Amino acid sequence: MNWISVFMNDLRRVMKDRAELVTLFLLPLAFILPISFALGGGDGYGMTAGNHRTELPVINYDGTGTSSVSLIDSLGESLDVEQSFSADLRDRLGLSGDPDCANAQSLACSEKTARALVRRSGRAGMVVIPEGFSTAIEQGQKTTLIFYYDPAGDATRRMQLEGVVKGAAAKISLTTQLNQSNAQMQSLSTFAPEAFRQSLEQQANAPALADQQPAVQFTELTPSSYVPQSYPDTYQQTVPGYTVMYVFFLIAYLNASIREERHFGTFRRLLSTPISRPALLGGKLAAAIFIGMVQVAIMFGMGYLMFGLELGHDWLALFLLTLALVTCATAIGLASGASRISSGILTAPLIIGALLGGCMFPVDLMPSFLRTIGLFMPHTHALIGYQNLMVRGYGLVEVLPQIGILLLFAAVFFFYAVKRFDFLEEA
Amino acid sequence: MPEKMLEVKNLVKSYGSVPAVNDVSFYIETGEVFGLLGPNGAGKSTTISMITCLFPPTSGSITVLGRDVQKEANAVKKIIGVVPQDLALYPTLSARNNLRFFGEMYGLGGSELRARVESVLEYVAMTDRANDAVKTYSGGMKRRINLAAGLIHNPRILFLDEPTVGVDPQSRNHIFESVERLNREQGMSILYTTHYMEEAERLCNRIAIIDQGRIVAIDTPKNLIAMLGGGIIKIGLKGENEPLRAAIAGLPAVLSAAWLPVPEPEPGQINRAVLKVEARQANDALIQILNLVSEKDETLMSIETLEPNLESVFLHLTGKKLRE
Ligand SMILES: Nc1ncnc2c1ncn2[C@@H]1O[C@H](COP(=O)(O)OP(=O)(O)O)[C@@H](O)[C@H]1O
Ligand SMILES: [Mg+2]
Repeated sequence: MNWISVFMNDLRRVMKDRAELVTLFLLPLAFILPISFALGGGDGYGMTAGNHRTELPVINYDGTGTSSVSLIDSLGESLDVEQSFSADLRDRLGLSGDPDCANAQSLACSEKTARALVRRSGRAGMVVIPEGFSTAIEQGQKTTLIFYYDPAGDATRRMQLEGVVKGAAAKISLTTQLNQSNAQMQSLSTFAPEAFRQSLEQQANAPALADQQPAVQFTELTPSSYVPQSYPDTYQQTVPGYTVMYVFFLIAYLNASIREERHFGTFRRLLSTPISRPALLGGKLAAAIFIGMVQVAIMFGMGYLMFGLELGHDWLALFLLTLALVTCATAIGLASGASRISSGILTAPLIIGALLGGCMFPVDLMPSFLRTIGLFMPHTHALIGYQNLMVRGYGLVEVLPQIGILLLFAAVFFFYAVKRFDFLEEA
Repeated sequence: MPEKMLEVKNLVKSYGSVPAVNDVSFYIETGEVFGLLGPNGAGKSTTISMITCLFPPTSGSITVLGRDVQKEANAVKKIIGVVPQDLALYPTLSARNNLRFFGEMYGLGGSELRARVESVLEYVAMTDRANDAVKTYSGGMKRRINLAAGLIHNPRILFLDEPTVGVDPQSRNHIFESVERLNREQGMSILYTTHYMEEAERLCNRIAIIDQGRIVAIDTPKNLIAMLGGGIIKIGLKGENEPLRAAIAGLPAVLSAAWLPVPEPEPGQINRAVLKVEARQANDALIQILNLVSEKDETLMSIETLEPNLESVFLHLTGKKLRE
């Protein structure tokens, strides 16, 4: 059982290594705490409930319909919803003499003002809720939300807005419709004939219609066929994001630990003692895994205690997903220790990996080719897993694919490491 | 006949086509201090590495108390202790934690381990500083803890690989005394490698002289030095003078005289030749040679006498100096 001695010895060493402790435990907190405090209460897209919120004009022709009211509420959680505009603003846009604005309070005037704002890049986009929106949803009919934006405007801002609008629309259609015919919907999606499913998908992916006005395009969302999707709030994005990012700094930790043992000559000495090579490496891997588990426990614990981070209901799934994540990082660390890569060189790839893996901001803000590259980052899958548990309230079965992918990464790197590992060679 | 403590037979280690250790054979008796003397790159560390189970030999066999090092590695590892050439300690941990950890590798624990740790600390006189991190120690103190770590499980045979390189005189003396005490008081067998001939001469019962992976001589220091007789005298002359060489070789105090190869002289320079004389008795030989040279009216360019010691033995055997 002398692998336990190796395990304890590595923990003792890491406790003496201030730089390593800072990297593994303080740096992630240094990101998580300020970002959570600054953006707290907003969504994971960087929009805050505080003083600096993005404006979104919403023109509501549906009146007091329940769905439109709750849609506006839900948009208001992360955006500054504007339903009317000041006379001053109309003056500046040259709409004071416009016949539609004879009645300044009319919806027609508001819509005209909002469109003018979007055209002049004063707003990234706007939403028009059509008449009969709520009734249509209640009756299970298809309806249309119009998201109106300036294609020449800031694409990132537009995507942020679009994300929030889509999320809110999905929430409305889900809460109303799924409540009405939950079972029906499920059997539909499972047993619907291929042709029917295809037509559903086509509607979901319908291209944006061209508008009469050349500079501006319409995008249509049909809430009833929209894929159910929840979006992470600030904490659900920031805490797991930076936790996953810094769990992968275990790679640099293990790399350095292995190189040090070669450099210090301690591997050399240990090989002349009775401990077997597998026990020696096993003890070191166990220490790395333990450190990773403690990292996650601290970050999630802080998130829970300080920000009320939602951890989901399936603790076993959370534990197993974390174990798979930490095992994956450890295996990559072992592989790096078997190669000639030194831990100093690792910092840049670790940060880029975290960026592509969606640890720093949500991946759907990135262009699609980067999102594709992101699929090759284990970070991506760990984060999907955590958000499935935390945001969507899923359980173990739903995160088995993510656990599987992480373990597959681990197996590939472990196999390489075992083939290449040399205790003595100092690269 | 009692089993040999260590027996190495026809040991070979090749890196690519170049042998680092080339057909090395020797044995160490129980209770013996055996020296491996040779310059840097001679193959000393490679030999020790194979004996201490770091990597297998290309060919040849090693047994410790009759047990094959490869087939019964675990039994052998409990008998042997290693003090590697380069330090092998965790610099951020204290000496005590280092020693505890290495002790645990031998299955030691509890009060037994605690007692062993204190005993070896005392042995190397490091009890006072034992709770400080190793990185805060002087070079000599680190060496002493390195030695203590090799003793933690009370081995029967200890391998010390150039333990005094880069060590201050005080710690160096301390290491000498430790080796002598271990051998005297505990009957520990010791394999000591060095490229300092004074160390080998002082500490070792027998010495193997190793060069370029080969053992060129094995004997007691006394017998090795006796090979030179009374020492070696090198005489520089303007040119090779065969009758003079023959006359010197025939002197009563001289064993032999031979020309040494001399580098090509620069153009315009006088041709030099060097005669290497092995003396039966250095003083007598010197006087006889000087008389002879003046009788023959030959010009003496230089004269150099080498003391009879292991350094000159090495030079005699390999034509090279131990240290450049
Ligand atoms: N891993 C290695 N690969 C190739 N050559 C090596 C390796 N280790 C040692 N050598 C060579 O083997 C020879 C003997 O080295 P070594 O045993 O360290 O000598 P010593 O300890 O006597 O100074 C040297 O020429 C050295 O360059
Ligand atoms: Mg050496």
